[in-house]
Amino acid sequence: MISIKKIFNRTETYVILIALLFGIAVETVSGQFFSNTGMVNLARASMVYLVFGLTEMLSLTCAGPDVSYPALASLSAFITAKIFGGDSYGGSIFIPFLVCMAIGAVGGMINGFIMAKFNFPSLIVTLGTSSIFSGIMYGPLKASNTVLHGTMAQFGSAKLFSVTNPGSGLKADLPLQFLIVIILYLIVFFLLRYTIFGRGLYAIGSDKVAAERSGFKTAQITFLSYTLGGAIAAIGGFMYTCNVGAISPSDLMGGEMIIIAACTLGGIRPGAGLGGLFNVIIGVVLLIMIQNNLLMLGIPLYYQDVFTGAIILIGTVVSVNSLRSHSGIKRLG
Amino acid sequence: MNEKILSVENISKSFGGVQALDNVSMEIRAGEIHCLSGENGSGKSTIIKIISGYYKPDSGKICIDGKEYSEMSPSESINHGIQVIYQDFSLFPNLSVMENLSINAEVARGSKIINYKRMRETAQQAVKKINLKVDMKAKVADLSVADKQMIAIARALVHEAKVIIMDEATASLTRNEVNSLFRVIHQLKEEGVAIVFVSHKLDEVFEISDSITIFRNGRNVISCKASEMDEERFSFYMTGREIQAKQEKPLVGDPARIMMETRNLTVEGAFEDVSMQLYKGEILGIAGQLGSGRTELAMALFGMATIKDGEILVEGKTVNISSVTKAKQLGIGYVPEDRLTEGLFLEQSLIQNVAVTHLGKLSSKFGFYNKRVAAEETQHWIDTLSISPDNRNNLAQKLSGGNQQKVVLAKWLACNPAILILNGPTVGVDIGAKQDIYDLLNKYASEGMSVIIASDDILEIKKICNRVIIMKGGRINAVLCGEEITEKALVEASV
Repeated sequence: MISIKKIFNRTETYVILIALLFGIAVETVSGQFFSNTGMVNLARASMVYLVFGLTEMLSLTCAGPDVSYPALASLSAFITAKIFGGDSYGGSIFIPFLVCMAIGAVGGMINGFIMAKFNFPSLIVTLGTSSIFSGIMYGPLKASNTVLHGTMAQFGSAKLFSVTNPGSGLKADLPLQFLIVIILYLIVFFLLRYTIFGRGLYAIGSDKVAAERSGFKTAQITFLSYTLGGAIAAIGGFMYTCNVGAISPSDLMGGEMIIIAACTLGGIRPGAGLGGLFNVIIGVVLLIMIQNNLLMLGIPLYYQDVFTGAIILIGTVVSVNSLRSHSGIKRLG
Repeated sequence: MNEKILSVENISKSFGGVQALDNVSMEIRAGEIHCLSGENGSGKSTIIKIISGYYKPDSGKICIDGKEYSEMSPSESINHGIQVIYQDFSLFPNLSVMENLSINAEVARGSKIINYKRMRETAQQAVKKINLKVDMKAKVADLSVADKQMIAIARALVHEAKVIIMDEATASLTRNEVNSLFRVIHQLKEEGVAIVFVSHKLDEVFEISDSITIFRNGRNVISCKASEMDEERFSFYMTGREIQAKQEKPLVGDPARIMMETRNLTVEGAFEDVSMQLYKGEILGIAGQLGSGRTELAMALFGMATIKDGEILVEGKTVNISSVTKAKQLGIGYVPEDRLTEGLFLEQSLIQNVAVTHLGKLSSKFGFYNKRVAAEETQHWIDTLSISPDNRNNLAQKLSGGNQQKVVLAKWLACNPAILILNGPTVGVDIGAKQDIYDLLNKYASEGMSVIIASDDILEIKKICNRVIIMKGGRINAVLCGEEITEKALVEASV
């Protein structure tokens, strides 16, 4: 029983509408958007962000923003690439992949431990650990840009499939890595929906005290959630590094804001027990669409940030408004 | 005598040097309705949290099913059949009704994977037990307060509960809902479930309980059968002092001087066509059940509602109370229903709390805030209202409910309003502080202040009001005056 009114009370509806309108605008100008190459390009550009979106969503759902994942992703990918990125490593891609994930998980455990034990705001905790992670990378590990060879580079350039636009003759490749995104989303979907851990995450975000009273092991769930988030962030870092074919430690830094914005736009509110995969996907895809296509609409580079910011604000205002009650009584606060 | 099902022995617990529980023992028997009473801060909630495994006691033991525990975890407690229905319901607003009803059982089961089919069945059985009709897919955030309460009760029934602890279960229910709650409680009692009913509403306690335990300052001062207790002794054990049930005559206002008036006032979704008058120097009651428009009317008079139709007059002049600032300028003060979220800055000192309503008066002509004057003024109010502890630098959150309410009163009295509107002035306030608040209101009204009290506490209305407006279904159902104000008449007009 989904009524029209209900549909228009949801943030998701507006985000999808904005995305569609935007797509139509780009299509009218360039004729390249609703095409096989346009879609593949969008999927490729969103790929890594979709992975980071999962990390951010986990943190936003149960506590608040996580700003440490870019540093953690870079650090994990950097260490992994240092070990396995040369010509000398020609073995299976799974070993560097798992090593990278493990490093990320350890970093996530640090976040999770502090969050679970001391109950500090996630923003503060992850600001701190972010500094530590990047400090380790640039300090003792002396990170710098290096080109990748061997298995990791091959993995990065492997294609899942290619498409050719019949009109323009342009080609677009979807990387093999896109499979990782799909698998990750399936795993996280299962965890969130069908496990006590996942439901606990929503319960904690909804009302932490109530979650404890219900018998959820809130500290354990928080710890696990950040560990998982760390591992996923590292996967994102790994994918990015392989895809670029080089270690470039500073590339991902600062990306946290765009992901937080994407999640917010998608309808997730910090520490509110709201947030699903669908929200992440639509938020990320819309933002990537805007970022990649504003030039096509003839909007100068520097105005793009203004435009992106405006979209985020409008999206948030609309969704908050739709949640308000329609009674004549004004509530304080 | 039924068998003992749960007992605590010699439990002590302190928080940062404050002794919350001091060597407390009590026992609960199967199929009994055991009332636990005590003023705010007497240790009621602490013992509940110990029994439910939320706090670990410093010493003492918990005996259940013949086994002894020095501490319990929340899931152990649940597995032993102990269920707590908290005052704030402890529901998850963003999850569905179905999940709210069944998630605790799923957690207690200890499985890692969720079985939605099993959860739906659990939820359905739970609502069936109390004949609740509710959309299983609805989000709990979208339900009314009364429905949320019923969900919380239904959730407790999911488990093979042996002991159900209800913490102030009736605080936000209408009388009809209380009646149906009591029916459920009696039904559970028949089935051998023990109910611990935490309340300090006298009438309810005597109506429902088989035995009574009263806490004061972290000690169990008496456990006895309900038949051995009367109201006077109850008050004595609660407060440790004799409260003389003074029957003062409520103040009669001056009908020739109308301070405030509404004409055909309508607020969409709340009430309609309300015409009323407030005389100078009277305490006017607005009675009515939850959802009758009582609370909303009080809020509208203070500029917190969008008026759809009709007008408000203050001292004969039509006014547009479009905002709280405007209301203040017109000499109206407002003590909100929920002082914790609407009336106090919990993490600030008493000085800040009292000063906030009249910063202008406390500032020099250049607009600088005068700290010394504010401190002196606050001390004056602390002394006048006998707020305890009397340290003006204390944070508001450290005070008991009654004293917090006095602080809210102080900050409005400090503005010297001509009209003071109080919304549920003694909700969660203990007997002793209640009387203090009544005395204060009487004092100020006799000096010429006009007071409006919106309250669902019939005894309170009867005690201090000479005129009462009774709301029902968003309209004025009756106006009672003087001798007409009886408990029976009030109940009849509001149900």
